[in-house]
Amino acid sequence: MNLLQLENVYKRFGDFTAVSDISFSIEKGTVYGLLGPNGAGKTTTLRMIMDIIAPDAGSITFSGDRQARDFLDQIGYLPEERGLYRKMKVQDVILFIAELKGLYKQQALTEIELWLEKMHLSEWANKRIDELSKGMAQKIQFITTVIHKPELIILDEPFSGLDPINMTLLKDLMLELRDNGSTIIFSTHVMEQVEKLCDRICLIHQGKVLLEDELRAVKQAFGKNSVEIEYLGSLEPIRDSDYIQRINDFGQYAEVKLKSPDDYRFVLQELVEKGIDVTRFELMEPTLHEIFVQSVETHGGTVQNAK
Amino acid sequence: MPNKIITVIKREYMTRVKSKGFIVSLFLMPVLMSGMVLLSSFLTVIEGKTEKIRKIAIVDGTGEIFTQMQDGIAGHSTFQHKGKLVYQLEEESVTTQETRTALRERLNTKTLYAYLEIPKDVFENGEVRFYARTATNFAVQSALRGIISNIVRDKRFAESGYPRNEVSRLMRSVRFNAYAVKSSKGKDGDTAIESPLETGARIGLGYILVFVLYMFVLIYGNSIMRSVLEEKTTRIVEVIISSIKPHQLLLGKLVGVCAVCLTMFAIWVVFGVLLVMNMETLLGIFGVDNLPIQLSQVIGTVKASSTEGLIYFFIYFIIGFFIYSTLYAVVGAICSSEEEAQQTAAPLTILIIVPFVLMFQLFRIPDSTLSILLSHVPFFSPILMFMRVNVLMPPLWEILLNIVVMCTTVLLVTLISAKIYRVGILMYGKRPTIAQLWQWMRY
Repeated sequence: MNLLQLENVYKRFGDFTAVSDISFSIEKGTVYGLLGPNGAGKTTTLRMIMDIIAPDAGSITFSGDRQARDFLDQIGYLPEERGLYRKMKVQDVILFIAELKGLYKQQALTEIELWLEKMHLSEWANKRIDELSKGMAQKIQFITTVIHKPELIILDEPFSGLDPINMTLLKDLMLELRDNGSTIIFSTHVMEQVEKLCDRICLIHQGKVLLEDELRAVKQAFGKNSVEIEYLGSLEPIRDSDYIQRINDFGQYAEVKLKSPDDYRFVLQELVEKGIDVTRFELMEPTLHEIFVQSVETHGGTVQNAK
Repeated sequence: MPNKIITVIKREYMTRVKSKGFIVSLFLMPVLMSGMVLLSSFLTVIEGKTEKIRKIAIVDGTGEIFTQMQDGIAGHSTFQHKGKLVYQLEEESVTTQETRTALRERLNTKTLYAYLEIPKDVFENGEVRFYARTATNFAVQSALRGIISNIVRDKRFAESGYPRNEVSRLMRSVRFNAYAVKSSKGKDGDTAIESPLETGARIGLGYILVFVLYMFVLIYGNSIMRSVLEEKTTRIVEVIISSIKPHQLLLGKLVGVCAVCLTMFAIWVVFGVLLVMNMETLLGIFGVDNLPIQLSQVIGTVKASSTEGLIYFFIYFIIGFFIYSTLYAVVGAICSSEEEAQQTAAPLTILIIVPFVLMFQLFRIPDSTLSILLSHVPFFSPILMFMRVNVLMPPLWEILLNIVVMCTTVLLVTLISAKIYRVGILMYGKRPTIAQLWQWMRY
């Protein structure tokens, strides 16, 4: 069953079209990635799902045919830019948001205790937000997002500004929440982050959907057109090869983009012929970044902001 | 399901009431208020007082006033400090260009405090001139004017044949007091009148209430503005309005903060009532057994007029608070930084200051057309109509009409503000133009 469904959604701000004809649906219990460069329309889309702004056209429905107003308490939302009331105590802030989401005080306090323990922040419960480190504050904000056990969790750029440890922690939490039945939609402009996390992705660019499918299917459709090479010496002799589109050379390791998926054997042959000492030669799935660049190009656009 | 507006109200209320700022102003404001009253009366008393001896040169064109002036200042309190004469007069008999230059030179080197030029024809119509580095030492000036006038008058009377010691008796002013006639009936069935002291006490109380109203609207309006701004810049507002409608958030905020003010007033009123009611016992503890008649009159007036005054205070405070705070909230919503908000709020702040400043003039003419008209301007009413209520009670129909107009204004301002607020809290970057605001209102 689809938990969330967007159909032909449009949003304009003055002369600027932020979102143009976006449609997708998210199945219950999956992780959905909304991908695109800055300014692609990700946040606008998420805000429309949250009913913070209204779409100009199209429909957004939850769990069949429910409207946002009937469903909002079942949603947890983490906005793109982070912040909490700086002067309030950790426990009071979480309690405030939990009550707004419809939890009763006692119920909320129990949940708060559990979550703070889980995040190793129990002894910070009565400290003020502005005494916390940035990482801690981000964890608290994540707690406020999920404290009411929402069916749908919306995370806008959840990984931005996190250190590697907290990034892993967040990723694990997201998977844990999914395994417990929550549905997660998150946006990001850093493609690598979604590779191992998403069940399904949606690539948007300049307000339009470029590609929307299961991650596995997306990768298969694009074929294995990259090769990773570990070598000794120099790759200079094959740089002008007819089969290679682009080399990203790191010295003893290189990512080679092929012109066609079947060309890998010719490249291997050339390497041997030119006497380059290859220690590893592996055919790779395309990275999301490559898929994204390619999608934009086939749609006749250019990638300006993509990292 | 817990009521979400209550949740918002509770947060706004609790975070403020529990803050140090609240506790501090709870105690500090009455101290500051009475401190200001005391300080201003103290400043009037100390005007002209000095530890050092100040020299005043008298250029006496008549040749006969100087000696009498010395007696004059010796007997005048303005020239005394702690029982000692601290002013010294020195005589210059003629004014030439040189003496003048020399005297002015001494003023600038501060070896001379002031000098007086008394012309020969001072007994007829001559102008006495007072020169000093500042011409704002009014207490000294008026004391000198009094002394010289007396000398001149004495001489005129003497020349007309009146005995010298009779003059002060003959010249005594009449006793003149103002009594306000009230529209209510007194105990004896006649219309009640109010003594000058009672009027003073009542107006004084009114002044304090208007001042408190003004200060709280200003302070807590700004507080609301900053709170809206904080929610906006931290983006927490996006989380909040995903569970509660923007106008509910705005309403919760206003009610919560208004409750904070009312809590503080309530505490003050309780303490104030206890203080006034037990004033006699309290003074007894300090050894004052017989209350001076004036003081008991003041206490009586405060007791009698404070109930009515406080009722109107609460009505006009709540109305004023909602009109201005909603606008402050809008300013917070359309700005993106504290600095920007402060600048944008300036016209709004002026809107509050204008009636407050006007009040100091208009209270002299409470029933003039100008006063009446201005007191019905919606944004001025909370202060000016409340001033009129305190000084000269307007007819009941006028008050009721005003309250209806004000409530309508509150409703309109809130409706319009809620619309701008709703859009503003999600807009970042450039502050919107008036044209854009107009557009937001119609979304």
